[in-house]
Amino acid sequence: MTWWKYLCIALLLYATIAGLLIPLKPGIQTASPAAGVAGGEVVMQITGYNTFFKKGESSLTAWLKLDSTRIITAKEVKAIDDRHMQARFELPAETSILRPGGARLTLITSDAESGVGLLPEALFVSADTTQTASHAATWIAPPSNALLFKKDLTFPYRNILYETIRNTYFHVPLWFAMMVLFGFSVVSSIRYLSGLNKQERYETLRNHDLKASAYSEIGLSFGFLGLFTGMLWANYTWGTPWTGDIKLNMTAVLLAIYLAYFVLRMAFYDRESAARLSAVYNIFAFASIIPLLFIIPRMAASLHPGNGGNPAIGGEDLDNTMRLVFYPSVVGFILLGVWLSDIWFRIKRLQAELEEEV
Amino acid sequence: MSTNKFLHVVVGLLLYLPHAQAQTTDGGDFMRNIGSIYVVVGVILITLIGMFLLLIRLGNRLTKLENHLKNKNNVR
Repeated sequence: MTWWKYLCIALLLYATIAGLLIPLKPGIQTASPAAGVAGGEVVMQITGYNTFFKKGESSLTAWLKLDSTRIITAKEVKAIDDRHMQARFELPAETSILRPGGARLTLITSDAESGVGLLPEALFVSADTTQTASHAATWIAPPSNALLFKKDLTFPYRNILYETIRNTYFHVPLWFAMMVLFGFSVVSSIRYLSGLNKQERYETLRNHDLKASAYSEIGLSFGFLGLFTGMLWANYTWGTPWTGDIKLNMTAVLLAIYLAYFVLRMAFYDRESAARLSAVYNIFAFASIIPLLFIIPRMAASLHPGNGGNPAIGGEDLDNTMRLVFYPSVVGFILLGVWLSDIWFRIKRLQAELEEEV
Repeated sequence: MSTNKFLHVVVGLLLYLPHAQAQTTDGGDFMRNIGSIYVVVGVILITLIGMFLLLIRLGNRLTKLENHLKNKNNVR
């Protein structure tokens, strides 16, 4: 057992435990009613997630936000229990600043025990000219330092995603590992071809070829695992396992290209011709990763994080608390892929050696 | 083989140790019932550790086979 195998086990166990047990930040699950009228009043029933409304009742406040300079504070808030609260808002009568048709306000709650919760577009306010205002509420500027953020180790809360945000630690590293393994595979293919040129020993060439095949096989398997985990995740967040958007389609094309690599290998009786042609094909297949997975998807808008011009890893899709678990998981999966490929290669090599003995 | 089983039993028992947590455990509140997630983590850990042990055994068997083949060839 080499050192990196122990490291792989440690990293993957850490990623699983931390990825599953670190709680989510508090958030707002639902708020009703969803619509109100300018100049009127609305009592919102709010359900929280991982919140402690009752415990933090003394510092509990709620706001409705129109934009960065206009908010309204709740006239009264009441905590029914730790996860349910009620807030009464008086909606200002000014309709001129609302867009024609109405505006969607964001609901924000804050208390010292839970922290800050946010529900985007929680309330739709329409301008109803038939109603006369029964109060004189107006928009005010957001007070600074009013939000009581809690500093602890928690993962971001996102409506629609909820706990599935933890899938990031398994779904994404599978793809990273796939690309690294395809990289090792193409390196072995290049070494095979340059070894042919230099007329190296038969065993060395055969080993390079078998390594290229082994890395590709495990890489492709990781790719399919990434695809299936993504499809399951999408089914419960986007509503369908396949949205037909460009990133998903290009990924499927890439997996088909690598499947063709194996079809090519099997098409020859003569192992040396198979090795030679598949090594060349491998180089082109690897070269196709960049346009297929990185260039074309970023030119189009997509539900999948990392497209439409925004890179996923450095941008808004990862939090610093998530990075603590995400990067070790990536390294762990890469090491796992290398470990599996090593075993796969050794099995192939043994098979080849036993065949050659006869 | 027996070390394998022993390790599985130990890991299984360790998973039921109580843990100190910042969040309260509401008995009837399914959303924040920490106990349930511990069971999930335990199940996944058993699966993972089991697979790692299998991988290690596979590697050792392969080494034995490779050495056997090498010795056979060297003796000839």
